[in-house]
Amino acid sequence: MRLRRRRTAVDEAELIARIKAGDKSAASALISVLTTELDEYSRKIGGDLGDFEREVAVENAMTRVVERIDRFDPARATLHTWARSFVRNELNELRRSPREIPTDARELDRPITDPLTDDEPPPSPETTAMAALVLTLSQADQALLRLRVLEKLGFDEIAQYFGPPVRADTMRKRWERVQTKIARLAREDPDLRRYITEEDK
Amino acid sequence: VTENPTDPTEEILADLAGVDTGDAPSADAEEVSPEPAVSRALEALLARTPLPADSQAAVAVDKLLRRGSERRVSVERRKKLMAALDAALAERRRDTGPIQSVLRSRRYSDGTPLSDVAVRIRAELRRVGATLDVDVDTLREIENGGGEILDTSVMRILAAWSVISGLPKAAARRSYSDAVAGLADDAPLRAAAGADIHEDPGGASPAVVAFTAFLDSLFTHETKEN
Repeated sequence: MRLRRRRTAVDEAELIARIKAGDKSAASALISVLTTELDEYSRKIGGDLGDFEREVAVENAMTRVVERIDRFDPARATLHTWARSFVRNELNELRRSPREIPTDARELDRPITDPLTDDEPPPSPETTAMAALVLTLSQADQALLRLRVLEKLGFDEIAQYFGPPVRADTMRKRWERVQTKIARLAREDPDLRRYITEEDK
Repeated sequence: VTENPTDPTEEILADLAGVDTGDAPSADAEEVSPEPAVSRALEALLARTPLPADSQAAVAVDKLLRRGSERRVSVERRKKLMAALDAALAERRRDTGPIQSVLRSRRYSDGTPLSDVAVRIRAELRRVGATLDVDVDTLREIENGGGEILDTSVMRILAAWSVISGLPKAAARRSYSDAVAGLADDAPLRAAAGADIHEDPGGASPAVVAFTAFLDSLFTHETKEN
């Protein structure tokens, strides 16, 4: 039997409203809601960096959440998904220029980017067709797709989130099946057919 | 693996994990297709495809990624995060005034948004250890030479701007004046300034007063916070 810890419920919509208003109490709520999750996530996808860099990435990501909250669109991502995108972005920045970031000088030269909303091209027939294709997959396949494509997690990391007895191989095999399904369905779609190459056939 | 098998998102996670829920064959029971993975072109297209935010799959993924994150945040870490978030939230509160909202849409002569200039100035002050309730002597050191101080807030700004831009003090002063002059004919800004602050009795235009007040608010506000 698994004992579940009691969590303090924080209403996401209310939290977002408090952040938008600059309410001081939002800081504490944000830390409770996001920090440990983002720490864990940064450990999973930022294993090549040190603890200090990962902490900085999470701190910066949470600050970005506050700075950019006006751009948050619940129709496009949950607050958690959106926050993780900032962690990925921050980790990538650290990989590109590791010596410049971990100080307050981060504010000096870096543009604030929002990976989920900035520079997103308008939907093309292909992405629209692919979005429709994705919806025909099972929910579990869609979940794996998100973990791999959106969250950028490796098979080992996904398995670690589940814990034993789930193994990376299980995830890898499932991913191969998902990819095969996608290739098969894409072959039947006039907008996607041209993306199929010999290696997919 | 699952916490509550009746929860649909837990069912999704159980399915993904290869746990037999009784409703469907588990994933590992299927045969692995001998077909190769999808091409890079298709993979790239997948990466560009927006995925629905409100699907059960999205909720399940959020739930999975929250697992293993029950550790307590250390006191030191919490303090650091609180400081960063407090500052960001304070900035949001500051950003609600009419002058600030107009200035956010205005740009410095090199194309930098004025709000970014302000952020850079504030960051530079922090970097050199000039906290926002810094005393005049420290600011004089930053300015590297002092001089007659007509207005403390302008002097602070000029000192930081000199450091950031790499310009000598006099050139930094001209650069700052140019920025202010560029705002002089800005009708929306004048309107905002008129709505928010009084004209400088010394004769400066509302735009000059507005710009100075905007930058000055970076300091006075945080001083109050501190």
